[in-house]
Amino acid sequence: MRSLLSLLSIMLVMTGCAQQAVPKPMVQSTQTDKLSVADFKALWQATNTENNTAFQISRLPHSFSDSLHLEAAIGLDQKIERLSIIGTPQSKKDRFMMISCWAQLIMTMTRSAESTPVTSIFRAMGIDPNADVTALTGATVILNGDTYRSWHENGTYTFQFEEDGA
Amino acid sequence: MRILFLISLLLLYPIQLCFAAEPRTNMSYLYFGSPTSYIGQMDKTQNTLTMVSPNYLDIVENGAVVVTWKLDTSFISEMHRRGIRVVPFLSNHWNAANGIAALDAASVGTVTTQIVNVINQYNLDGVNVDIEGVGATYRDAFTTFVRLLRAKMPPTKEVSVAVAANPNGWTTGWHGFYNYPALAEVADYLMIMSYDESWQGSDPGPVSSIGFFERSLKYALNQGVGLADVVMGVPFYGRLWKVDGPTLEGMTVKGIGVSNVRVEPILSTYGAATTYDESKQSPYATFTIPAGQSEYISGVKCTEGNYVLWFDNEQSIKKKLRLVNDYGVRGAGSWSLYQETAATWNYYARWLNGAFYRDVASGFWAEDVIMEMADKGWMTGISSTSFVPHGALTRAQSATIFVRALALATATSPSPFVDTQSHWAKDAIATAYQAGLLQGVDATHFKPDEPMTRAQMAAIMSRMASRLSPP
Repeated sequence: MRSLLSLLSIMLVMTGCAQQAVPKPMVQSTQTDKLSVADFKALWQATNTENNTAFQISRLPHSFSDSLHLEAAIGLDQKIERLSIIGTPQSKKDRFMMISCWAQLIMTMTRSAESTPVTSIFRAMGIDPNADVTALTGATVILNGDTYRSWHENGTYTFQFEEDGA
Repeated sequence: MRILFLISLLLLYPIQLCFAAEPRTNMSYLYFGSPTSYIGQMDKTQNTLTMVSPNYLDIVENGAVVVTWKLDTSFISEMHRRGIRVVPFLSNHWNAANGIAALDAASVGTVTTQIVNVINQYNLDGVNVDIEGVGATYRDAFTTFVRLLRAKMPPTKEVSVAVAANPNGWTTGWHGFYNYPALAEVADYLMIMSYDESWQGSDPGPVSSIGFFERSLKYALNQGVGLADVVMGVPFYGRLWKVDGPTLEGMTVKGIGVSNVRVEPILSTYGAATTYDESKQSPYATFTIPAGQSEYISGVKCTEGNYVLWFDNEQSIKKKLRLVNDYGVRGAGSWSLYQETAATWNYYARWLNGAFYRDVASGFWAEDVIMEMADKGWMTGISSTSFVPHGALTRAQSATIFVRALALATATSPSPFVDTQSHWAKDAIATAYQAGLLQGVDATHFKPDEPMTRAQMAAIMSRMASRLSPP
């Protein structure tokens, strides 16, 4: 509707098997500045406010519920290296909650208040309407040099963000 | 003149309220937020929307149409249970190449069939076509696209089109892409995106001044579009500019979007000075983020420096809704849910439908002056929906009205009154006192919640007349 963010180039690397280790990205793009932990928390909370979501965090790592957790790998410079959302959804509601949290991570790390990059990444990963993740296979998406991965194993779903160069 | 208005408003009588027989279209887009909270957000609208338009359909590479991850059939069912139509918007998200590919003669048949199939499959109520950023070269192809879509869509389902506001009659660029009369003929209605008068990258200015809004409406009517085919866009967001150079991280802040829901907290945090531009009927605020502080807004880290924020508030939104009602067009469409303040829904549908204050009926002898005062922001009612026309004014309310009407600069020091220190109107009372308009009942008491007597009013009017009269 209103002028959206300038479109970001998305480089996709799809792998075919879900039950395996994290696929290795094949494409690298432009460098982006890493976020400090403090900046990440401030940006995450702002995204939370702007989208009225229920994913407030006070610290890293953080558990949103028994079945949804945010984990972080932080460098010696106190910058974010990698973030992982780990979910074990039991219902459609749980799945929507989980992928909504994934969406918030994408919006936070792309520093976009809008969800266009989310839709593109989710489409590439095979996330369908009604929180249908049965088509979700091991997938890696590289966006502006940052890497987003998703995979699942024995009912546990992992969505991971990795800073360029981490 | 101002004095006459004020006096007349002291003499109002109770009346009964009349409601519009047929509510206007009241639609809103659903783009932000998360499917997990869509229903909760809809609850905030107090069931006043007639239609909601979620981001369920995207045009992607090669013009293909995909259903987004946001679609949730349980949300669609719940909206239907509430009597709210669900008409997703079809968006190319400003990707011209994708939009053009969808319009290509070789693919338009397949694309339109695919859209209709999705609408039927998910029991949706139609589609709002929102292809943007495509040039005027494709004007006829777009009209053909919409015509074909309408022909294939079941008659009970709608096909509406979001069109660029065109207050200046532009015929080139993406404005020229929209053939208003031809589109109105084949579609159910046009949703005029009467916002982004100032945009990301432009100089500071309103998102939708009243002049821009009205010229956009008039353009449609002058093109021969019928009243029933026009829905006017209302912005639920503002735009922010950093006016003293880039941020400390080197980012240029030039018109980034700011949801209305974030405006007041930001203004409060930084002690912003807000001004209502009467000619534009839009508020704006200036503020400074001090050294060492920062604020993430729309993903941008706004660091120390000077900012100006143009936005829409209750007064400016009401002004637009009144215009929709005055012209008698089909309705209003807002961009977008999640961005509005919760209080918006206390008045929005009533204003849209010409039932302004609950206690001021259409045709009431003072209706016009009450609305004029509300438009000017001098008298805003005791709430968004109640004016209490026969109620007496308190001394605090009177002080507030006089300060607004005379546009007095806020007092730089507090008043000497001990009974106003924590009163909601303490600033207005101090301002009126400092200006010499109002005095206390004694040296240290104002009695803010007592009624204004006729003698006190006479004294104030005398002082005001002296103030307004040339020496």
